[in-house]
Amino acid sequence: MVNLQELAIGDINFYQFRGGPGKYFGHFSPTLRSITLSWPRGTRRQLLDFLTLFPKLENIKVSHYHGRPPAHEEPSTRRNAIRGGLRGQLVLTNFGASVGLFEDIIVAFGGMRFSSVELEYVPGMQLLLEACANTLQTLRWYPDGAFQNYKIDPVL
Amino acid sequence: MVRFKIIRLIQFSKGPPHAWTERVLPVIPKHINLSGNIALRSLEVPGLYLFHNAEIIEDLLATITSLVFSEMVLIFSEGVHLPPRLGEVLRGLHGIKDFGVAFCLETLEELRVLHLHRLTLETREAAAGGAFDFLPHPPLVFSRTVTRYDRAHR
Repeated sequence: MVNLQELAIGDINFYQFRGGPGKYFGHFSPTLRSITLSWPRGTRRQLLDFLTLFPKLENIKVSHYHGRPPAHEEPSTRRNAIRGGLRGQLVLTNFGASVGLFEDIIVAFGGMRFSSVELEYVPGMQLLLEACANTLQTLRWYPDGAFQNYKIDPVL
Repeated sequence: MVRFKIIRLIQFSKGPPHAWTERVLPVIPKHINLSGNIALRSLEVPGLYLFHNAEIIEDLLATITSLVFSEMVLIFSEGVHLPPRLGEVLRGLHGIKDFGVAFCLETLEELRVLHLHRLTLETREAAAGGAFDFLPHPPLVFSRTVTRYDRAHR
């Protein structure tokens, strides 16, 4: 498969990739621009390593991620900072990782330049907003508790 | 200071309700600051949240310094009616900052993903138990968006 630009994966479990996900997805690196992950499982570093496989990444959508660092996490192999990516849309839904992951992504990609950001239950969102200070044009914000206690008609 | 609250979460992949677990999740601040976002053009928030928490949106609007900010998009889900006094609330907010208003009807993508996720897990479990061992490979699971008309005629 060549020239793949969008990839969506549900339930990806980074622990299952012996030898790292690069062995399985690395051939998409030259072209992939959009990644969607639903319920990914793995440490913050594993998620970071996966994202940095794709230096041309512009759009990231991650939902239901609750990665926590293990007690001790071996540092990944040293990587060069990627320049020029992350210019499109960022969508994070129920993203339970700590602010540290955002800082790592900012360092790994040489900053964030998203023009559209959608956040629902994301600790550390202020850091994301500041990282995209010069580029953010559209913010879709679901405040914590936005869907609680409101009567909604049953779907017919 | 970091505050925490306890939210009961359903562990969809871990079986029936008695297997539900509780997780401690941080409380997300209700106030964010957009003063640094100098290119911000559009702010999108849930319509009912705005209606019931206008003061929080007021505070948010007051932080916007972008000279190109021009639009507030209110998101509504299926089955939600426009609050009768929404216009008054918007009028009050408009006094803080000028903006156009758009309503966005949004379908429940999360439910689609949720049900797809559940079906995937059940299919995987059944396949592991040999239920589909007569097939060359386990059943593929995918989703399709249907209209109400399509659903009513199944």
